[in-house]
Amino acid sequence: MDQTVLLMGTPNVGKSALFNRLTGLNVRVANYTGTTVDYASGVIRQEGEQVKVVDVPGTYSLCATCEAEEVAVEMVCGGSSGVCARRPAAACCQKTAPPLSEDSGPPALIVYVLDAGNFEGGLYLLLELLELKIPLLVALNRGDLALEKGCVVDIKALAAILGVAVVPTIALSGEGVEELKARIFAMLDDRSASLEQSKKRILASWDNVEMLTEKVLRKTEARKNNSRDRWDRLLTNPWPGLLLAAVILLLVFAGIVGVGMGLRRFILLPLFRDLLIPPLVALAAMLIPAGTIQDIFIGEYGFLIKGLEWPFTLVLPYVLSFYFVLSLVEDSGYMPRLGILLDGLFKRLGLPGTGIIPLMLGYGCGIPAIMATRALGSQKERLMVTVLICLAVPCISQTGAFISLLAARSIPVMIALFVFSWLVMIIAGLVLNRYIEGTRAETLMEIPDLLLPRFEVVAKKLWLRLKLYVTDGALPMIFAVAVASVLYETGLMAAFGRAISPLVTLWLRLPEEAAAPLVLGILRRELAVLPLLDLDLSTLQLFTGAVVGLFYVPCIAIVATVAREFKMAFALGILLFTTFIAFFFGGLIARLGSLLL
Amino acid sequence: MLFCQEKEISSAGPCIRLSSLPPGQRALVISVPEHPLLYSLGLRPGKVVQCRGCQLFGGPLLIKTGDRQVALGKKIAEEITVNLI
Repeated sequence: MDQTVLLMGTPNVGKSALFNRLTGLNVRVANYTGTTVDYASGVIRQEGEQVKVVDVPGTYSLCATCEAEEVAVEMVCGGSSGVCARRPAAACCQKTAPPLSEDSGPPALIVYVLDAGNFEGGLYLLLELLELKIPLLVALNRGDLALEKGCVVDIKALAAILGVAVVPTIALSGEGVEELKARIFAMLDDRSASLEQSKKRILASWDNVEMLTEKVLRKTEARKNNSRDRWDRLLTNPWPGLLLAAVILLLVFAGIVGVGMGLRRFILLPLFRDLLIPPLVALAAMLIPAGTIQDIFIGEYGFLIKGLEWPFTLVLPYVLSFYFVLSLVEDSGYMPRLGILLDGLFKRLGLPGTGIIPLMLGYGCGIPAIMATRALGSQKERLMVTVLICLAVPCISQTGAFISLLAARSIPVMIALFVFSWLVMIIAGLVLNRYIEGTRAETLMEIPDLLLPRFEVVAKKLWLRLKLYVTDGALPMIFAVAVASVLYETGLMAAFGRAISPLVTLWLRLPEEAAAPLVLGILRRELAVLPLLDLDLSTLQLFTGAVVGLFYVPCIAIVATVAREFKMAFALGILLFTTFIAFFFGGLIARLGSLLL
Repeated sequence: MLFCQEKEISSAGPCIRLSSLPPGQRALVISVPEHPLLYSLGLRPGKVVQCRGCQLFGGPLLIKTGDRQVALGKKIAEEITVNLI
């Protein structure tokens, strides 16, 4: 299977949705430009045949303007991509060189996804790709949305003018996907089709794009969806858009906390605490003789108890509620609208409004969030958003821990923690903006159509998250709890606590045992908070502990991601910076708090 | 060739900057600065655009080009000249 099919197109036309339909895999889909920042590959199968297919990040032309687009340009141009002479900031495909990449070879076929509802916008890249003389097949996607806008694409005319096959598809519902599959295999088997394609030669120019649009696009009466238009105005005009943004964010927050608490209290807690854990504990007590070993399993930190309760009753409910709410927000197309509403304010921090997207993803998990910064326009923006995520954006596991720790005592304290984190983010943003060199790219982005999130897509995303959480979240957490349990029962934790006790007891004014979360927090972010649950702390101490846990080092997986995306030195810098900030604010709060209270 | 030459656009009315186009007003694009995305987003000489409004705090303009909506920073909008129609 050495042939490769590339799935290409301009941003946000449904490439990833089509990829999922073709391969049966599940890569991230959402309604904004730059959802896919790295390529994903899968296999299309049909009647014993199979071929490798790659979902390429969207790009408007073969001139990349951000790192995600560079991935796309490199995929198709291979080693021949270079720096564009006309625009030094952009890396371009040089069309004189053959499209050959040393390691992967040229793609056997490009499936070009063209958004029928935004027909003209996708033609330029299509013409550019045709110039490369790689066999190409057009998937004309979202004909349903085009019809609503009053556009009909004359498929026969398009195919005749370009000399390529055109298959209409609706990726979200799966319409036309089987036909597309059949065409892909037919084209891979029959090389003569691409010969006809290379006979036609249309120069990639905007004049030709307009000529083509005129010949192929028919206008019909627009079936105006008035409610879509009205909502769009309400949500994007400063008034009442900003007010609605505040309401929506409040609903998002309340939804995550409320649904999560409900899931915990009524489903997951009874399931684990009453049904699953007691038999396990009884079994362990029967099989393992009393002593240190038994304590490691079922003692105070016993990992059969904490190792199941923490990941599945404290964190899982919020993972489910967060990704449910996030799916609704990202599939509707609201995220970029929020981005432009806040763009002016973010500009003061040197950030683009679209920086809100990686930041919001960061409240789920920092790793995809840091990857998502690839879609930002400049290196400075990427660095700044990454630092802010590492410093002050708690992942959903940690948020679950905060809710358990603080909401039980007092909900205002929990809200105060989040407000405090935003204040620190603003201050950190202002400072970083001064000291990180580089510029903020001028805002220029497409606002996607508002769409009603589809139940099956949201349900699928949630199911996928659940599976990913069990393997990548819960299992490492159980392992970390097991490590903690060994450290605790063997007395090593106490020894470490005594070693750093001046810092913990004198500076942070917390009991000696609070050193444990500082060790465990390096492994996983929520473990910088959860051990505090079992200590008898005053509200001020809880808040101090939570603040330290919040700003404290991001987990090792994030540090590794930062090192991979940027440099090791930058990752180490983040480690030092976040640790310093955590202890600085922790001590400050312990002192100020005792003065005020 | 990546971009076509600027077309000769016959200008009937006075030329203004896109940044000073009043909301709701339609205009014909006369010239745009060199930028890798402007053409792709439908901001090309000869295109009809409409200002949908401007965000607060020095935020971007919302421009309708055909069926698409584009958020456009003020600095770029100042470099685009349009003609009222």
